[in-house]
Amino acid sequence: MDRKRIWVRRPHGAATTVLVSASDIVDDLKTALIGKYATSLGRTHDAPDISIRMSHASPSSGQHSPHGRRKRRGDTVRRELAAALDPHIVSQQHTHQPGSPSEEDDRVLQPDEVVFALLDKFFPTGMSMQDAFLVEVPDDIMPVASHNRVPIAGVLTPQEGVISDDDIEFLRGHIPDIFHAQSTQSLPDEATYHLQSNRHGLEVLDQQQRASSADPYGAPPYLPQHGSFRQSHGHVHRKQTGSPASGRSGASGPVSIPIVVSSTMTPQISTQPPSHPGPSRPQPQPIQQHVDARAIHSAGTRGVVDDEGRVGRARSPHRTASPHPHPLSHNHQHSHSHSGTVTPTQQTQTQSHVNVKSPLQNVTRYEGDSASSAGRDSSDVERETTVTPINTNIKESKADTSEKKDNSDEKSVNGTGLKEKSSRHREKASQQVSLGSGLLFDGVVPPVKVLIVEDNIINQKILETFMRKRRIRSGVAKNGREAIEKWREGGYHLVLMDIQLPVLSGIEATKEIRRLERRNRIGVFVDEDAGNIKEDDVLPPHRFKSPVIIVALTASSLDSDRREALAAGCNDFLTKPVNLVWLERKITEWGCMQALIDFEGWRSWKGSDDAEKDANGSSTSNSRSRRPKAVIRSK
Amino acid sequence: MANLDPETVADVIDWNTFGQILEMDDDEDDREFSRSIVWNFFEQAENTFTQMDTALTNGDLDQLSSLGHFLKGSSAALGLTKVKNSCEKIQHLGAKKDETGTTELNDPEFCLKEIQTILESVRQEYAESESFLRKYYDSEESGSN
Repeated sequence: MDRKRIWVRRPHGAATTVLVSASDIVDDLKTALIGKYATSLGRTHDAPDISIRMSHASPSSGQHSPHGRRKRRGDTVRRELAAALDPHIVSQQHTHQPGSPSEEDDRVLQPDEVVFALLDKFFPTGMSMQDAFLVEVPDDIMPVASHNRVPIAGVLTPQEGVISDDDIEFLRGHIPDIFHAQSTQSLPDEATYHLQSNRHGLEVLDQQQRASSADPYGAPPYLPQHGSFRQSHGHVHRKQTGSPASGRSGASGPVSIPIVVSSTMTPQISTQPPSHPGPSRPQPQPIQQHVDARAIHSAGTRGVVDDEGRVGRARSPHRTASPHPHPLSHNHQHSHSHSGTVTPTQQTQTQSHVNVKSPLQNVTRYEGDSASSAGRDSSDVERETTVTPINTNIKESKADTSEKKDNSDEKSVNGTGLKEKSSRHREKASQQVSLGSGLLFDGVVPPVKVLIVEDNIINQKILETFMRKRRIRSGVAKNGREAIEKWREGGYHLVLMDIQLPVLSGIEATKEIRRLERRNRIGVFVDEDAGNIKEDDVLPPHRFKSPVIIVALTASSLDSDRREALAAGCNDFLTKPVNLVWLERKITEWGCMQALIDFEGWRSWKGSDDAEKDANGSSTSNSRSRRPKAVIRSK
Repeated sequence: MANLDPETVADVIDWNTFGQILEMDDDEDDREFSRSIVWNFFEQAENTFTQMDTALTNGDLDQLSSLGHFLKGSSAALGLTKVKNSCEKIQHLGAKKDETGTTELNDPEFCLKEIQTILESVRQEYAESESFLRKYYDSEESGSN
């Protein structure tokens, strides 16, 4: 059977050919095209979704100047966009050419049409490059707020105007796809949309997100300071005009947000590694895109990482303190601040190995951090290192929750998985709505038990609820003495120890716990005469696999206090009032380490958790059930 | 909440901190959790002030320091910065230090007097916060959210 060659091209793309057989219909052609554009369209769209447009076919093809052809194609694009913007616009001037002025030859091809028949009818003398069919996908047409912003194979000039929330919704829904689209061709032209949005617009957006979810961008811990999309073609650029519009400095006015909408975007977009005190981790690139794009949206109102690159929770008072309820309702979003705490935990964090190291690294690093965190209250430090697909929580999965995430994240990196992920996350989002503080860990937290030692019942309640929402088991003690007793019951992986406690101070309690551990040979440091242990000091061995991690909650940020806590045997510290985003991070980092060590404990926990779930009859889709498949015992 | 502009808000409460608690609310209309926290705080604060009065009468600096520390914790957790700062001063003065807590003072009389003054102002600061929070929850209830 003879095959014929037909020409196709992407909007603004170079023309290319595919071979079709006599029995092929347009649907087959689409399949072939997906293969042809495997790295761009193929990653984000299915064959049926693409549309093939024939335009300006002429029996006398080839006789028109290339220039004229191109112009007409531009017209086609413009018409399409105009039509998209305003359905009432009647497409006029279908063709400029004489010959076959019927509408028939400028239309989208139907899947059941036989390709050969089309060729015979419209290209009897054969198809030339200029006749190339246009391969389009729905995303190619992006409505924008103003009708003036019709992209015509070039850069849009910034238009004054507000981006409506609908637009942002739309964009957010599509940007991930676009980011993933990768064209193998080099496109000289790139439609770059400069969207001007005022703070309010974005503010509203953020408000919505926060309202509907546990604030993906509540405080993403990481916000790459100078995120820059680096494209293979060097087109991309992301600018944040003006200083970080943090609430502190009073957000500036309109922020220009260039959003590159082109298929030349490669996944190699990278952002500056956020400098934060946590473990450094390689960020999966595609996810970065989301971060940045997302950051783009939010950066306007929220500002970014502060000068030191410290990540801290930053919330613009305007955003959080909104006395103006916004009627808009977004049905998505959960931002997860990542900060190390990146809320969206959809990222692939392959750092199991780093986890073990990180808490130790953190200890020393936090010294410095706390210094700055002291000023946390007054400084809006951006902790928006949430990386999530735009239309879902942007969370960066913390390293800790890695294992489970690895597989699913890998998939998402490819782009095709992203959509699934998005919807999965959206489901999750609804379950995470009230996790609080934009800590969207996507429900993935280490299966540990935490002892909360706080004398003020209000603080106790806050921490307890925090734990409960994350399905972390917890116990409470109101002074040092109680703390030791509770701890002795066993099963605690982490202790949040308020340093200033009545009866027995936190410092004293810590010292005592460490002493008992040494006496009982729990952990690395063992007393020499541990053999002669007093009866009172004995602890049931099976419940104490490793020394408990003690995180001191210090009211002051004085170095001396911190050092005292560390010297007494604390592993880490947080200053009060406790920033829940940081707390989550600590729990994750330390907790995962502990969970790895206490594999048996995890297993029995998991057993009881599953039983619980069966009893409840509902799957809360707590990712913990999908928890570490391979927990390697580090013994 | 038309009568609450951002500047007023920032003056009374640190929204970064308070927001954390709000975000833990399951239901934005009910706000059961944060509401309970806040109302518990009201109760706790009022009790503490009463106890401080007693301790002041008794010249009990230790007790005053301990009470100051206690209320400091919860007010900080809610973002009520002014109240927290005043409580901290009381804590330090009760420990016979200057209000920043850095230097030792050997003057109990002075400390008591200072605490008395601060107690008055903290009550006002608390009243301000209380009023704000009540308004906030009122407006939440009336569905203006």
